[in-house]
Amino acid sequence: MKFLLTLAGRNLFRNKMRTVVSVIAISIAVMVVIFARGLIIGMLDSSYSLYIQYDSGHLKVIDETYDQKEKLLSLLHPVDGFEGEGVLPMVDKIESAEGVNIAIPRLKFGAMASPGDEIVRMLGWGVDPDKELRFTDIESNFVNGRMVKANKKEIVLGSGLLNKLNKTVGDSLTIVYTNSFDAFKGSTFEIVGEIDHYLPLINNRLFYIPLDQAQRILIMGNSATEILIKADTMNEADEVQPKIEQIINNNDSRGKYIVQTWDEANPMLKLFNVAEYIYNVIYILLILLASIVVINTMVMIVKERTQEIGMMRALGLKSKEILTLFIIEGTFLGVVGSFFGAIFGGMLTKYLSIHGIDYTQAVEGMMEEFLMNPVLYPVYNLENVIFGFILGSIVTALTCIIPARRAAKLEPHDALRNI
Amino acid sequence: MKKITLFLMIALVVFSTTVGAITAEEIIQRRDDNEFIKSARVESTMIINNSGRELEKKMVSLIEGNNALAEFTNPMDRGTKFLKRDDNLWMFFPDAEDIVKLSGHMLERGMMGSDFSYKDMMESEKLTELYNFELVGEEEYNGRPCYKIEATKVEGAEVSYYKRIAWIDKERFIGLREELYAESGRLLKEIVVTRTEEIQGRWYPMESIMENKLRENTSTTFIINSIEFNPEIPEGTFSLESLQ
Repeated sequence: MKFLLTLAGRNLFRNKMRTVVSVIAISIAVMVVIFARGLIIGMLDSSYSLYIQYDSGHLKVIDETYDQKEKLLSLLHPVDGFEGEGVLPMVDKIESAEGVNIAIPRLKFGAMASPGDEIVRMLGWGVDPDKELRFTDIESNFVNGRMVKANKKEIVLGSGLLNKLNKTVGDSLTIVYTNSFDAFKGSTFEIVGEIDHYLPLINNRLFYIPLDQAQRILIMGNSATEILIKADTMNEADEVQPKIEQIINNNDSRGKYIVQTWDEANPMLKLFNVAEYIYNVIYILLILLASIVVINTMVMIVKERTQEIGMMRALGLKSKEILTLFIIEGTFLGVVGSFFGAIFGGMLTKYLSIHGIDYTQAVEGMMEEFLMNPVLYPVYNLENVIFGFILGSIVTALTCIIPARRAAKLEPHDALRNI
Repeated sequence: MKKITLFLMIALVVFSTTVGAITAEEIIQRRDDNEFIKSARVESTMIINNSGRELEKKMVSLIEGNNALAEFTNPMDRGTKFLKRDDNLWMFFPDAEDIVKLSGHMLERGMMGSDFSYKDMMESEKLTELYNFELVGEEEYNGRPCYKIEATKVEGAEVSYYKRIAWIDKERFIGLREELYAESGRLLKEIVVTRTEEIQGRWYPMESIMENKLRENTSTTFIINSIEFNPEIPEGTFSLESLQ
């Protein structure tokens, strides 16, 4: 074996340029895989997190009919608690369930304001202010003022929306809306906070008012349009879902509520889930592509060394040993290439995980419904680097079996025929 | 001599036909005489039926020419006021500090959730200025003989409905039914008058049902509880200050 290792090492240094090119090809492929994987994980993690905070929670409780009418911001199918006794006791009860970290009510409704002759369409969220701050990252995005307080006629808006309305913190704002009885109404609130958020939805369209105020102006009693729940991690949503359903079934006889997990609530997240599998296949294909360079190098080596192989076979080297020799050479290229790829890929990912990649201009006109951070931070972790290294080494080692077998199959008399 | 007699007879027949026939414009004019309000004080109720849910809204309105001021008096909307001045509409809400001006497509929306749009309620010009009328037939509607009149919008006029077909009582000159169409020919709304009364010498629709055909399972009954023509309206009633 030692002899084979020495032989393989010597062979690799015979044509240094060819070896270097093969190593570089593998390195680049592994580097790209590590970086792409970090980028995709970063992008998906960030989007998951945004969807969970601002759209679906880990779990969402809604009225079954509301599911189809959510886009219309219907107020006719609210979550009004167990047997209609109010949403807040229901939130408390859900929060006390095992595996539930936090549960929050939200009352979503459409509203407008008209600075001058222009009409600005807005999306209003009636929220429990303290819990909303705990549920989302909104607190760190306040650039002016503070969050609304319960029982006060206060409103918080995004910077983009404030600009459109030509208002600032401290001003009052009159919003018009249609209440749950279809009557067109108007109410004035005091602007107490400004949020500058990268999500167009929050920056340009959304405003927060206290839940009690939203219930009052919309004549919604003690109702909300949804309850969002966070478990410890998103993967535990499936475990917690039946527990919440059980609580609802035990306390409400109307059978009007459904409990959706994050991927059920948002088809986009289901798509992300599938995308993760597809990306894993793409990484393997990427390494296979680079391996073609190694295969090509190996095929050339076999061709060049046909007579030499014949000689070795004639001198008593077994076919299996020839196979091992070429696999060692290929694996060496793969391991060395993957090693450098892992180092550079890890460094690149680490650097960008700190500094981020700014997509702001590219996603400027992005739909408000699409929740994505325009500055992407790839995720750097050792596991990803090791994954890249192992994937690169294994795929290269496996692919070089093809030319190695070809070499091993050569019979001494065929190989020596051309001398 | 014979020729002269024949000529006189023909002239007489033609003349008598012309005198006897009434044109579409004349029918509308006579209807306007009944229904067009120069000034009035109206107490009314609007019953909105929407998918099995019934809502009742009451209001008191003062109307003078192109101006109108309406205030809701039912508990849920008490204090909400509308002010119409020419083509402009402002609203005052007890919960808001500012007066809100409605404009553009907001005026096409159902007024307070009803089947009447704000524009329907704002119509104050005489229809003869906005539409070309044609008498298309005579039909009986609800036991009353009616003229069937088709109105198509005058080129350049700004109206909500491109075409209207109205059934107008032949004796009382009051509209009993009206269909409102889009330019595409689609039926948008239908209004049916279910009760009329003769007040101060003029027939007036006291109860009518409007159905917005673009919405499912909705109708709005508009009932006039009392109407006083040409009341005394204090000066400054139709000012923005009066809204607050």
